[in-house]
Amino acid sequence: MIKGLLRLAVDHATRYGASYAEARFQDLRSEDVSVKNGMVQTAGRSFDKGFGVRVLYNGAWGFACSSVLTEAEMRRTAAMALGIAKAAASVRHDNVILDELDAYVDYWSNYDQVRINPFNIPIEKKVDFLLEATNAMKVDDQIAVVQGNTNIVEKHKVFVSSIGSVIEQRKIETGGGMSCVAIGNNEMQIRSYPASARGVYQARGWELLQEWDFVGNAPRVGKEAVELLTAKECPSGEMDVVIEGSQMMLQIHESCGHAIELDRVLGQEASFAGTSFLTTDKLGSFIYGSPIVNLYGDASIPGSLGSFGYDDEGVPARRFDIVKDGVFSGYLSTRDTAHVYGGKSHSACRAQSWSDFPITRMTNVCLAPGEATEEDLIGGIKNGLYLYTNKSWSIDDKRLNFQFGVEYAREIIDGKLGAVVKNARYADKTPRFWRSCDAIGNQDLWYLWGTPNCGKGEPMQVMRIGHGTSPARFRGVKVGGA
Amino acid sequence: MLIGKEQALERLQKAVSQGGADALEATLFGDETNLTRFANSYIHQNIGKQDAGVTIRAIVDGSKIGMVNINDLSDEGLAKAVAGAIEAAKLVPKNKLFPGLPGKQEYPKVESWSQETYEAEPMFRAKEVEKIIATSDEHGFDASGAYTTGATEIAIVNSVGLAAYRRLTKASVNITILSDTSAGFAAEASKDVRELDAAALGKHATQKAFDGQNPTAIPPEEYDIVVEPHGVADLLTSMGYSGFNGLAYHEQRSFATGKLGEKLFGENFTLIDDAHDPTGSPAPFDFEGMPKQRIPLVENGVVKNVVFDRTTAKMAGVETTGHGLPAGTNFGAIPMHLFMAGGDSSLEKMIAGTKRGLLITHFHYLNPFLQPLELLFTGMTRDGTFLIEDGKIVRPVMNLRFTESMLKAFNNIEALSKETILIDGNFTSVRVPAVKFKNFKFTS
Repeated sequence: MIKGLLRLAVDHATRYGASYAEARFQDLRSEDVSVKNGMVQTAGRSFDKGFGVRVLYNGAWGFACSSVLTEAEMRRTAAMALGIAKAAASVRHDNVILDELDAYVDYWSNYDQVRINPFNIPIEKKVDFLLEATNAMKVDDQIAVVQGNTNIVEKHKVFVSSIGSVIEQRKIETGGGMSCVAIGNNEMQIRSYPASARGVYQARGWELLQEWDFVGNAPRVGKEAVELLTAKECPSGEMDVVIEGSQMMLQIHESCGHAIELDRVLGQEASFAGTSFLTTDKLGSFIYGSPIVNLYGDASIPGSLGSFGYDDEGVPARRFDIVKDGVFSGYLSTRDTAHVYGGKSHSACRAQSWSDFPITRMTNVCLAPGEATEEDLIGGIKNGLYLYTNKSWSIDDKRLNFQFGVEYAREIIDGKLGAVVKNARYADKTPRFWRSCDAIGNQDLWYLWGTPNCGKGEPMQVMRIGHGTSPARFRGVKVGGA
Repeated sequence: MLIGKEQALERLQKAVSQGGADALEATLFGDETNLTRFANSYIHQNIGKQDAGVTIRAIVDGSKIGMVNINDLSDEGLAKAVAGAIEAAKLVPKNKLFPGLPGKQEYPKVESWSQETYEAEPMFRAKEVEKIIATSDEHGFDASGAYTTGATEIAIVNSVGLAAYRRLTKASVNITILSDTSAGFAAEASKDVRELDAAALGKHATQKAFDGQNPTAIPPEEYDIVVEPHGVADLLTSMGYSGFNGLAYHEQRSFATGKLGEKLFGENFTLIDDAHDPTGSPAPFDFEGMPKQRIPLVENGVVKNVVFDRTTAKMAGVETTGHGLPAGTNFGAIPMHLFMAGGDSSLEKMIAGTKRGLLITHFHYLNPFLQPLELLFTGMTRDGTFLIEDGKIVRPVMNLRFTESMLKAFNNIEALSKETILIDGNFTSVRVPAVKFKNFKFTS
């Protein structure tokens, strides 16, 4: 039924003058459970569905949406999108050029990646799981706050376009995390597990959270928070550092992922999120990192938050090189920006919801594994730091000048882990930093992380994104009072 | 289309009258956002976005709470949401911090609607954007930004007598003008689209971009800085949600914990949260339906209060101040209508009184989570940073990163402009002066 309704919207738009039209339906259900200090904070479910229509008229986009799924509303919304496109076309506008795309009639789902459907785990079991894990972090009276959360999502999407595509997709995602706050010695310190900012996320089932053994790790997490209260202050200066996987996730996200969004490069985000130092003249020649640095985009990685069968304009999930042997090689792109490099879209057109205009977004941006073992990474440092778990983050509007703070750090002295260090921060310029990378963890250390809350665009759209990475080593990075 | 007061309250009342729980609460959030985005002096996104959703909270066995959000507002949809919330509530333990649902409340009348804004057409926005582009064309620069009009409505009804409704219109324009080597910024927002002067803002941003061309690097070190109102608002907004948050205060994560009544800032720093002041962006009630209260946060450098919702107030043993966020946010309470007192100076006088320092337009990607107890923030300057020497702007400089404690910065205020500017975010607003800070630390 929904395919017929969407077809009606597309036909209505093209009949009245649209040169291209697409209609996109999304039905989302999600569930959030959170606990804090032994009490349930949230036990709730969300249901959200509707459709959006994007049309092209005289080279200008128009978009409108509605949550009412009737034939009359399909026509009204298509007409509204067309009216908006005509208004844009009547003044100076970007003359949209779309790349060539085949029509696809297909069904895709990630259900084969889901061993335990998280929606089949009762809420009370999730509450018990979180209460047990968070309570186990209370290893000391100085632990003032313990909290934990789970989040599960199922999306059903249907896409119909005027080139003949009819695509249906279904996807389940699971995530969760926990953290504790220790107070004492005029300090406040936080430790999170498995990562900060709500934990670990993948497009898999409940087994993901079981694999991380929250309860078993909780006492260590609590102990580390307390340890930080009396730890030595982070030294200042230039040092060699090893960056742990979940912090590498954010490092890749901010200094590579956002920097290669072609809409930013073209100035389309200039007034909000900013632009990028990776201008089009650098494509294929700019030395982004050392020769061992290989970054790639791949929307087809099984089980990842940023994966799908087709993006939100019907482009099949693609893999492409971002940085090949240290050289900048490719952008995240969409059908209307791919012409800049004379190629095809890299399947990065995504919308937060049915009610949002699809824009260039990260899918999965990953650092290919290297050859180093954990011992190699540490062993190659005479005097440095091992940096774990993100605490603060900031980067300039060209994605060049960044500073990250981490929850926990340890000294590395003569190739061995040493004392715990608190309030560690590091700062650098993106190319200098990546060019200083001289070791990347091997496949055994590589993990597919996910972030559920990347913001971009106006109105703000929050997107769920994957980043695969190992820990990696960087030389001569500014740390401490950075 | 917004649903309107009568229908919104009627539908929510029907939902909370279904029974099956000790108490039910229904909150409707409806929004229409119409936006024209432009970049490279062209319109590239033009959208009309509308949606409405209802959050149902069900309370069973006194303090077991379940919640469902749904955007199907039909009788069947809302009945399903109520049943789902009750089912969820039955599955969780009691929450001893739950303060109960509030009963009937009285609200002041607030003017926040402009029919002209609500009816603004896509063509109107396109024409306004053309005016902005025309100003940047004069120098061959690229204009980018967004012109937004729209409206929002909120209704809250519960089964113990509370019924609240408000609607507001929103109009905003933000502009970044880019030359090959610089950027200029201007922005304005109001409930009334007629108050936005797109051409004047475009001209201001274009002049900034023109003046900022060919910046040179300067060393990161301590500078006296003159910060324009948008930059001051960036700092205060972050201080508000990280430092004056009742939950952070209670959990000892705030700089203010245990320090109310202490003089932590300079004598010339006074900060108030006031949702009733008509020179701000008034609001009658918070997201729990509680009347907003005027709360002095800092008076002449002395930390006076933080803000609370009903849950954090119960934790702290005080009364709510009417600063609750939507159910399920779990972030605590934040001040959303800040007013910083001005002084007797002006932007021009502050520049003239600076031997060596920086003029800063605003900040980018500010982060307040480095060391919250010290209010240690980092962030970048953006869209126009200029070196001041001997009382004059001598040249544009490249953007710098600061890493600085706001406890120190707001102890080091040397001057404040008499004029204050309203920076309106529709649900949040900040009225601020331009400020000169002494010895502000830049790190890269």
